Amino acid sequence: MNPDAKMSRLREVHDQLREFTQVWARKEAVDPDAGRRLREEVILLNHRRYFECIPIYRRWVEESGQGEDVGLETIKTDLMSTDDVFKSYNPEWMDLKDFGAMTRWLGEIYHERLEAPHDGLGTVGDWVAYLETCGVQVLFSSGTSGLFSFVPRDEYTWNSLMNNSFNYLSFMLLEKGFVMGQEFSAFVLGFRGGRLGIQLVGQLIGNFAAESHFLYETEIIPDAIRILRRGPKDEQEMKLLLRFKDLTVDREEENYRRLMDAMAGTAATGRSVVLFGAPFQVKKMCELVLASGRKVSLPPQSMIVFGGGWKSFEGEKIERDVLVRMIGNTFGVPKDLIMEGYSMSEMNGAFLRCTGDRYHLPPLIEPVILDESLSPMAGRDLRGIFGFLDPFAVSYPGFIISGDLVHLVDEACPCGLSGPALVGEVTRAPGREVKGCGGVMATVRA
Amino acid sequence: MLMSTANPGILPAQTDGNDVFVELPFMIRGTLRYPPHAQVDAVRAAFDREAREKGLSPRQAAYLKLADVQVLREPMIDRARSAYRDGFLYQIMPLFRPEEIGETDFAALADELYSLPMEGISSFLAALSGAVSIESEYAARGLELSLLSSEMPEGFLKAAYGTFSALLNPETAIRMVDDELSFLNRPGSEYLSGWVRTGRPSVTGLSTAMGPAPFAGGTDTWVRAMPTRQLHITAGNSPAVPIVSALRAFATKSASVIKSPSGALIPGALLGLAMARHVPDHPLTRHTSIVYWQGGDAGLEDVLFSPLFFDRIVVWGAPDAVASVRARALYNRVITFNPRYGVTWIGREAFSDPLEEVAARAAGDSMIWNQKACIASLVHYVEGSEAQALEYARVLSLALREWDRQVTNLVPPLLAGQIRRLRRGTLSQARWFVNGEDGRLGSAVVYVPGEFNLLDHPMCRLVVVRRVDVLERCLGYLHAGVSTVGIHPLSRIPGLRDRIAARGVSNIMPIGQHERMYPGMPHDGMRVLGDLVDWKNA
Repeated sequence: MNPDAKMSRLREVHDQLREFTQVWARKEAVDPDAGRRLREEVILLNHRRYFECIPIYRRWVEESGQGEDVGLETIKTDLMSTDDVFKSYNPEWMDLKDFGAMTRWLGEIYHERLEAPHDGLGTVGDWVAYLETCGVQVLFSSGTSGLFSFVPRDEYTWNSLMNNSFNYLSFMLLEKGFVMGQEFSAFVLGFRGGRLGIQLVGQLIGNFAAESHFLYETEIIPDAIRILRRGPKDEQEMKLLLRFKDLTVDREEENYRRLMDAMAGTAATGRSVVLFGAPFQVKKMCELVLASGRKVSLPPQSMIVFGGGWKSFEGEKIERDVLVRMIGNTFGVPKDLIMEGYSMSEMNGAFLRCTGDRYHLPPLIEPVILDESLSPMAGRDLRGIFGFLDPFAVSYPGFIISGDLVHLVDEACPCGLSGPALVGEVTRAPGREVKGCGGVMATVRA
Repeated sequence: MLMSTANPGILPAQTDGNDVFVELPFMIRGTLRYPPHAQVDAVRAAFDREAREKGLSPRQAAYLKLADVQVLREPMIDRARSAYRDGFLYQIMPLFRPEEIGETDFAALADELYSLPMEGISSFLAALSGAVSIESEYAARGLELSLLSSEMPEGFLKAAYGTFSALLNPETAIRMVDDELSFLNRPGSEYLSGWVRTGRPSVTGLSTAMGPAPFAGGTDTWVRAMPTRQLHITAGNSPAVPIVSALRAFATKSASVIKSPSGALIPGALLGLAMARHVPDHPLTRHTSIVYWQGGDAGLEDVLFSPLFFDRIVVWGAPDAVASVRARALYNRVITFNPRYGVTWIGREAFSDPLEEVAARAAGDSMIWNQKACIASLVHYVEGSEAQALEYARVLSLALREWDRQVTNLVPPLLAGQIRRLRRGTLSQARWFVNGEDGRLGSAVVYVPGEFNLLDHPMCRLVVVRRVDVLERCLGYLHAGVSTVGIHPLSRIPGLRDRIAARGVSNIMPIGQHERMYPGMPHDGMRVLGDLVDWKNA
C-alpha cells in the first residue's frame, strides 16, 4: 500500500472507530471484537507508517529484529516507548537556545522532516510558534523532573486531539443531564492560551461556552514555567520570571476572587456554569467561597470537572469523596455532574470517571497493562503500569508506556458501560523512588 | 522446592506448594527468640487479604504484622531467567517490645560490658569469625536461603558470605580500635579499656582563678573512650552491612541493637544464631539484640528513638529513612551514612595509554556490590572529543562483558523495566552499548551527550559515559552526595584532589581502587569508632 493509500485507509477506519465509540458511549450493544479489529487494523497501519516515516521508530524496529510486517502482540512486546521519549533531547540545548538542535531532535520523533529555523530564536515560545509555521502543533507539559516534554502533532492528529473526546463524551454528559449544545459560561482555573497539557482542556471547554473566564487571562509562557522550575540564570530571565509571577502567583487570590464574583454573577442570571480545574484548584475555589460566607448555588445543568491529579500539591490532597462532597455543598451541584477526567498529553482522547467510580476507556484506545519489567500482561483484571496504543497518533509514535500504576478490569460496569476501565486511584509506577544506601538524591544531575 | 544441601536445622524452612516459609530467630539481649510456629495457610491467606483490601498486587503486599508473628515476604527469583518465578519466600519473625531490647541498667553495663578487657573482645570475635567462615554450615545455609529471593547476583552473594569471617577478624578489629580511637599518641585500645592519664599540663579555668579563694596547682587529667548504647539501622544494598555495623558495636564494647534490613534479614539471623551457640554467655552477646521491624512502626520507634535507651543511633540508607530518624531522635546523637555514589574521571591521557586496561580498571569501580555500593561509580566522565568518548564507551562495554562472564548478572524485573524505560524514553537518542545473551541483559554502557538525571540510574551494571572538554568541568557535578572520585591518570590527582575534597567528596582514588580500604579508614568523612564512643574526662 502506498503512503497515500495508507493515509486514506487510516481516515476511513478512524471514522468507523469514532462511530463505534459513539454507539458504545450511548450504551447500546456493541461487539467488542469488532472494535478490536478496527483498532488492530489502524494500529498496524500506523506501525508501517511510523516505520517508513519516523526515524526513531525505525531504529527501534530494527534493533528489535522486526520489520514492516508485525502483529499487535509484537508491538506490545517490543515496540512501545515511554512517554519520556518526548523529552529525550539534550537539556543543554534549551539553555543554549539551540533550537536548531531541538528541531532536529523533534524531527526524529515526527513523521515528516523538519527544517531547522534559520534565525536564532530567543525563547521556547518562539520555537513553538516557529513549529506552528511548519505545520507542527506542539503540546508541551512540565513534569516533576522540570524537563518539558514536547508532543508534535500534524494538523490531522491535532484535530483528532481536539475532536475525539467531545465525539463521545457529549453522549456521556447528556446522560448525566448536561447538554453540550446548551448555553453555558465556562470558568477555567488555568490560562486562556498556550499549549501546556491539561490547560488545553480548559481552553477547549472555553471554545464551547457562550462566555469564558480564566483564572489567568493571559497565555502561558513556557519559558517562564521553565525558569520557575530551575531558577533564573540572568537578569533577562529574572525579569521574565517577575513579570510572570506578577500575572499569576502574586495575583492568585485576586484572580480566584474575580472568578468567584463572576460565577456568582452568572449564577444569578440562571445560566449554567462549567467549572474546570485541577483538584487542588477546585478545592481552593470551594474554600474561598466557603470562607467568604457567600452562597454561590449554581443553576441546574451546571457541571464541575476536575483532572490532572494533585502532583506537587500532594500535601493538600483530600480523599476524592471528600472533595466531591465539598464541591456539592459549596456549589449545590449534584454528584452526577461533578466529574473527574484522566488523560495525557500524548493521548488523543480522555477518560471520564463514571458513577461506578471507574474511568472507562473508549474503544478509541487499545490499553496495554505492563508488569514491572515492562512486559505486557494478559487478563481481564490486571494491576500494573498503564500503556496504550493510540490509533489516532499519526504524526508521532503512539505506542506509549506511561508512568502510572493502574488497576484495569474488563467487565460490565454497574453504570451500563462495557469494556476496559480503570478502577480506583491512579498512582505513580514503581521504580521512580529514591533508592537505598547506594541510592542517589532525587533530581541530582550528572 | 528447597533441596537443601546445607544443614536445614539452621533456620528451618518449610516448603508448601511454590512457597517457602522460613523461621528467623531474633537475638534479644543474648537470648534467641524464635517465632511461634505459624500456620502457613493462615499466613498466606493474611497476605491475600491484605492485597485484596488495599488494592495491591501480590508482590506489593510484602509485610504483615500478625497477632504473634511478623512476616516479610519476597518474590522468589528464577536466576537463570532473571525473572520472578511463582512463589514467595515468607520470612517469619517473632515480635518484641521496645523495652526488651533497650538497655537501662547502667550498673550492669559499666560492670560487665564496659569493663571488658580487650582480650575479651578478641576472644569473642575469634570465636564468631571461625563460626561463620565460608565453609561453615551457617554460611552454606544462609547462601542457600538468600539465593531464593535476593536480587544480588549469586557471585556477589557468595562473596558476601565469604567476607563475614574476615570482617569479624579480631586482629583487624583491634587495629581499627587502636587507629580510630588513637589520642595523644596512644593507641585507642588503651582508652577503650579504661582511664588514661593524659600527662598534659592543665589549668583550673578562668572563673576559678577569678574567685574569692583561688587555689593553685593542676591535678592529673584522665580520658576514657566510653562504650555507648547503640542502635544501628542498617541498609540492605550489601548483605555485609549488618555485619559491619555489628562489628563496630562489638569493637567498641557497646550494647547494641542491630536492625536488619528488609532484603537481607538472613545474615543478621545467622549472626545471632552463631552468637547464641558459640559465645552464649559473653557480655557482648548478653548486650546485643538483632531484630527487624518495619520502618515507620510508630509504636516501636517512638520509644526506641527517645533518649531513654540509646546514646547513638546509626542510620544507613535512603534519605527518607535518615530524615525520619533525624526528625524524631532529637536528643540522641545520630550518625548517618547517607545515600552516595561514585564517579570516574578519565583524562585525555587515557587515549595514549592502553585503553583496554584503563577501561578494565574503571569497570571494576562500577562493579562494587554490583553497582549498589555507595562508592560504586555510576558515571564516567571522559575528557576528549565525542569520538574518543564513544570509543571509551565501546571499550568499557567490552570490559563489562568480561565481568558478565565472570560473575553472571541478575537484573531484577523492576530494574529491567527501568533500563527499558531509559532506552525507550529519556535516553532513546543516546548511544547504547548493550551486553547480554538470549535476550537477557547483562550490562550496558550508554553515552549521553547531555546531563543525566541520577534518579533514573538503575544501579545494576549500567555505566553512563559523559564527555567533557576538560576534567575540571566535572567539578560542577560534585557535592556531598558523591562519595568517591576515581581519576586516571594518577598524575592528575594532586592537581585536583583538594578542589574535589572541598566539594564534599570523601575519597579521591586512582581508578580501579574505589574499594580500597584498611582497618580504621575514615568512612563518609568520619572516623566512625571515634563517634560511636563517648569521650570522657576525669
